[in-house]
Amino acid sequence: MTVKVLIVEDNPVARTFLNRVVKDSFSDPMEITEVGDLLGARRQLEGTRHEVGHEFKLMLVDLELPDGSGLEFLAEVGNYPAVKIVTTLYSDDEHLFPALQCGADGYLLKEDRFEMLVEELQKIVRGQPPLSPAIARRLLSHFRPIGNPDTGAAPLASGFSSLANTAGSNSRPVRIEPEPECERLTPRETEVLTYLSKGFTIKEIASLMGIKWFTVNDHIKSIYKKLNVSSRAEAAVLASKQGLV
Amino acid sequence: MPPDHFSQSSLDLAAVAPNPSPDNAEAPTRTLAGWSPSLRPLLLLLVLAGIVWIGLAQWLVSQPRLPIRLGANAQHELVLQSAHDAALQAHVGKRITVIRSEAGVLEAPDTLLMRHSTRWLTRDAQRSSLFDQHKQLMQIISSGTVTLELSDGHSADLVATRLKLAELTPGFWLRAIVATLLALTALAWLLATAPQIHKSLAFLTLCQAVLVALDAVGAGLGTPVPSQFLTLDLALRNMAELTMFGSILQASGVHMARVTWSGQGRALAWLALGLLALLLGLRVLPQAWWWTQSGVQLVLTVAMWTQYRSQRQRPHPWTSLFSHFTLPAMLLWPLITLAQISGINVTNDALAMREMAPQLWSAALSALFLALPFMLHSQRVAREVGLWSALALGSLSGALLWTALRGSMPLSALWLDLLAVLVLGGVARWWLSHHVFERPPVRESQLFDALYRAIRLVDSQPQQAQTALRALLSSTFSPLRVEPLERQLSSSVILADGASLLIPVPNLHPSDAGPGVQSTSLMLHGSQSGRRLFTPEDAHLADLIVEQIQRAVLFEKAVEQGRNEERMRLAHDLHDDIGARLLTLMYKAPTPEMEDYIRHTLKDLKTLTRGLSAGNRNLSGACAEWKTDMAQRLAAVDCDLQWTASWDQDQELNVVHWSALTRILRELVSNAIAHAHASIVRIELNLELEQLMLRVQDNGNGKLPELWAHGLGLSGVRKRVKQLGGSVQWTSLQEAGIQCEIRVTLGKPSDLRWS
Repeated sequence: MTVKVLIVEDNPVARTFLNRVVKDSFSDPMEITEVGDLLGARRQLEGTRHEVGHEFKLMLVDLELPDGSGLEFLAEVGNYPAVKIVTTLYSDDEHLFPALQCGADGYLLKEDRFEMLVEELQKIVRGQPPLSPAIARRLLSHFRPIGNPDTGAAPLASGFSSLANTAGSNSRPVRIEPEPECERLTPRETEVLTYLSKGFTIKEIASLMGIKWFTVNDHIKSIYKKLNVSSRAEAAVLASKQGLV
Repeated sequence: MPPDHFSQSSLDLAAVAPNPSPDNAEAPTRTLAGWSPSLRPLLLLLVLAGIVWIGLAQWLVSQPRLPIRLGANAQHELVLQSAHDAALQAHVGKRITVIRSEAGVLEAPDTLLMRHSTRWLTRDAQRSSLFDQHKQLMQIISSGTVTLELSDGHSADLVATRLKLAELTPGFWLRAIVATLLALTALAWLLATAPQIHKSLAFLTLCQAVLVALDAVGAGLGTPVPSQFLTLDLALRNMAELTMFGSILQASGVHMARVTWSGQGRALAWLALGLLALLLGLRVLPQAWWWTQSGVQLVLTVAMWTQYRSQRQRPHPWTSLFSHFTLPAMLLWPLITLAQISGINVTNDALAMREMAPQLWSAALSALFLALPFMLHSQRVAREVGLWSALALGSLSGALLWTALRGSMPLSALWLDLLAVLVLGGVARWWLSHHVFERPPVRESQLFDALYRAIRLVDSQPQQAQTALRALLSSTFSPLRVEPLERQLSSSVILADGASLLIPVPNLHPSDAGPGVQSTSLMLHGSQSGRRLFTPEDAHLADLIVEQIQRAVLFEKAVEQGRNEERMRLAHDLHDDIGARLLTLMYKAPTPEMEDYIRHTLKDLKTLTRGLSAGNRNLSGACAEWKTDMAQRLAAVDCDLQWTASWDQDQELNVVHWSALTRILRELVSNAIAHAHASIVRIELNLELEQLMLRVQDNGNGKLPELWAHGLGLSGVRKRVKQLGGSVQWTSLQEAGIQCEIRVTLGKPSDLRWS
């Protein structure tokens, strides 16, 4: 069964590079579709919507696209059953966190080496997404109960779409409606997150907490999910308020 | 005008509700300080006065009088000055020897007949003589025809006439108008409620009005003067004068004294004055004139002393104002007294001077009282009034002194006097403008200086804006006391008739945490250490100052914001464009070394732009990122990382520190990977008392640093460390490898700038 992959990237050299990365990451036969902008990406999606079973399994979306931001696209394909990965040059949390909130399953930094990218890609698909200390810190403040001041740096108001801005502003602990129970972090998850924010590797965390390496990864995965869910809910509410949906 | 303006005329602080609505607090600062009385009572008084004066005029014209004018010759004898009758006109200048009629005879009338008031007669004998002569003359006239015998033997028959209203001298009407104006002023002072000092001022003005009214009637009378008038005149004059100076005493003792005189003391003072007035009115006291003069002198001296003491201990602008006028009065009064008592052998000019002195004194007082309300309003008016009164008093004193000493008033002396007065006036003008009322030019440049310095301070330290503003206002007005209050105002307001100024102070830092931390207005008590009153011009100046500081703060904020935006824009452009290009280059790199080199460059670019666009970051966050990055890089080449970081204070790293340290670490680790081929890299970071120690060790095959081929990397490290003002040292370790130790002092994040 060929795995359909969509790469949305405007830089042709980077596109080729990512193509190689994807090919090298998996042993399955791949059918890689490359598009250079959002328009093309949307068209591709439209095409697959009508064919069940022929959807994309993996999407690599560049955040810096000429006709919009990858975040918009991510929000649009929120319910699409694919692994969504953002690729970006920015490695700081002000850009990555909104992406995660919009439903990305992970991120790849374009500056990394080939081998590293392959490894990361495999990890994300396996369900072991990366978590940089800065993002861990943002997550901590995001999931903190209401009333705690934001400890992260102020979000960069760069050329992001309005949705990204509202998504970005969601990082402040101000809720539109009270959080349902399932979206709170468990104490273990908070512990993992705290260690991550201090820069410990997963191996070190596992040894510090006395758990297995896989458990740590599970925690991280669940954190991601909770972030997705809570962010999606908020984004949906906001979007409906703004009449985007 | 609606009556509620009364309460706004003296904004008693208790009356001002906390946080009143802006339009309520908008007191009419542009009107006369504390002076918005309703017009209705004043109009009423005006009408009343008109009626009274018309009545008086009617009475005056109904008085029988001789159709002649009396004068005095060089020998101080009564002569005929002028007459309506043409035949009698020929005998002008002849001494009048006898006045007779069927009812009586008046032998040897003297110049006392010319006077219409006994006030300025120094000797009791003169006073009684005046009384008797006028009484006799009234009796004589009552019979109808009067015979006048002149020294040249001519005798004329006169019939007592009555004037028509139009023939009444203009002197009467003039004085009547002045008296009415004074009465209106007195009423206005009373209506402009509180402070209490207004009541004293009202009294003063009223007494002066009475005196001027008596002058008016006296001017309207001919010869003879009805004795009832003479009696009444004396009594009223004494009472009015003593009351007037008693009010000054009252004002000094009550409102200005450090310790208010007790009620008994005050009652005693008033009682004494009243008694004196009564006795004088009844003509019981001997040497009455002396009693009056010394009574007034005593009162003035006591008042002056009280004011002086009070000004020293509790400075108040009202005291200062009063003493500026009490002192000259106190000094001038003896001169007037002296002039009156000087020798008999005085020339007619001197005599005229002597008689004019009291009138000039009265005129000066009237002018002063009329101008007083305006003096509180505008500094310029105050200055002019002060100056002119000084000139007038100066010339008067000069002339009086001359008259007293020399007994004559030649023209040359008058010129000399005038000259002296002009010089004195110039000096007085300078003194007045620099010390009493106006802000001298020197002060203006000081004000400008202070304002400029305050704005500079606000530029460099915006959080000091509030303090700077307060200091500036203090230095401009030199108040006795500055009191922060919570009041919402739209513009400065003068309170307590000039004793206090309430200035709204805007919240210059809305981002400051905590409500109610910043006061919203400042209350200044007592301008210039209590020597001056606050005028509307001061209020305007305060508003301007506040506006300027506010503008400076806003400007600074806007500039800062502009700078930030520009920096972010620059960072984004650099990152997006150059970064993307470097990325493409990296992908296309022919060799791994070049790829690494470009990757390194790209990372440096990202560090720099990230530093530009983001703010400061904590050491803990930076350490976490450094650790992760280094671990990743070392893991990629199968190198172990041993990381230790400790700090006594999670200090904020500013942009310069953060970006420099990031790049230093990157360089050192790159070197360990590239040149040393180490298998273990050990990084130690320690922050203690703002001293940062960074140590990077590897177990590679590095030799002494001097033998290395220095790529751009290591000299970059040296440059960065030098930029931070720290020290770097490479040593080779015992077993194997190189250690690089860096020590840097981290100051406060705001201290360093981009060099």
